[in-house]
Amino acid sequence: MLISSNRHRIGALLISTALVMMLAGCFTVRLVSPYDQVIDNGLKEYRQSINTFVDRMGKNFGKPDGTYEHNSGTYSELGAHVTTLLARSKINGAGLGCRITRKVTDEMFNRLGRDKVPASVRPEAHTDAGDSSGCTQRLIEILNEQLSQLEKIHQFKDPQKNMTGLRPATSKTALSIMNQAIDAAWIVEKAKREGE
Amino acid sequence: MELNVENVLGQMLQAGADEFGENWGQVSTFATVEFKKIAETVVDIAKNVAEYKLDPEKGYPVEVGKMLLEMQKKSTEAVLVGLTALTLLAVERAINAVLKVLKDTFSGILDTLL
Repeated sequence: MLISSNRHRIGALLISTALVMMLAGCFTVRLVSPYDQVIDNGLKEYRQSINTFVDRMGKNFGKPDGTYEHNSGTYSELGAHVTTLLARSKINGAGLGCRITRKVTDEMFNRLGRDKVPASVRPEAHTDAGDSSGCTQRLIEILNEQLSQLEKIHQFKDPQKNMTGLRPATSKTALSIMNQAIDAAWIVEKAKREGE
Repeated sequence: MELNVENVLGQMLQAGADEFGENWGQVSTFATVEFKKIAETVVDIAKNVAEYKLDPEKGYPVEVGKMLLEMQKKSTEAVLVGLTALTLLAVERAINAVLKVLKDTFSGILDTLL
């Protein structure tokens, strides 16, 4: 009788545990790709590399060391770094882009104050179509596109020096812009980590 | 506490609101700071182009200014995508906070029944 009662209790405990585990599994949703330490660290390294490089180019403007021709190899290295991160982000993204429903977007901008939001960042581009897990992927794609833009600016022949290069003022503005995009990706990854 | 629909609903609403409110603060701060940066950069580009026109040793040519503006458009998109992702995280955590109330409630019922 005692054995039967213990069996009953153990059985009940196992069923209870299984049900709670099932509920725990079913009762969570994931709307954003999970935190990825490789991407987090990769963004940090990329930020350091691009800042060191662009700052050095500004200081070497007007000298052979600061020309595009002398530094084209660095763009290949930095590009390889971003491409690796992009490949990593595609593992979680479905390749459908970063989209949220219009209702959520509207709520976001209502809370921010629609009239305070610049026209270029209003949510008209957002639709109910697409996939929300592609946000990190798109953020890294932007870094890649900006690196190409920086390369084009570096290739521009300066009328005063008659050589390619990044003026100190150019490098300062370019870094401010690029750091904003890198930080956007980084902040998202950090926010994911805080919730894990 | 008595287990009824009103109680469970009240707990769910509170959990969702608390969690979303907490995470929304981060979204709001990010948006405010980054929109200000965008405005500052656009002004900075205009200022440097104007400086170059006055003294070609300073600032940068208009061609470079245009390319930097294109680059800024990408960063603006990054901010918007970042806002989207942070909002989704806030929504995700609010939903999960609501679901946790349900899970805890059902776990309690199961303990009582078994």
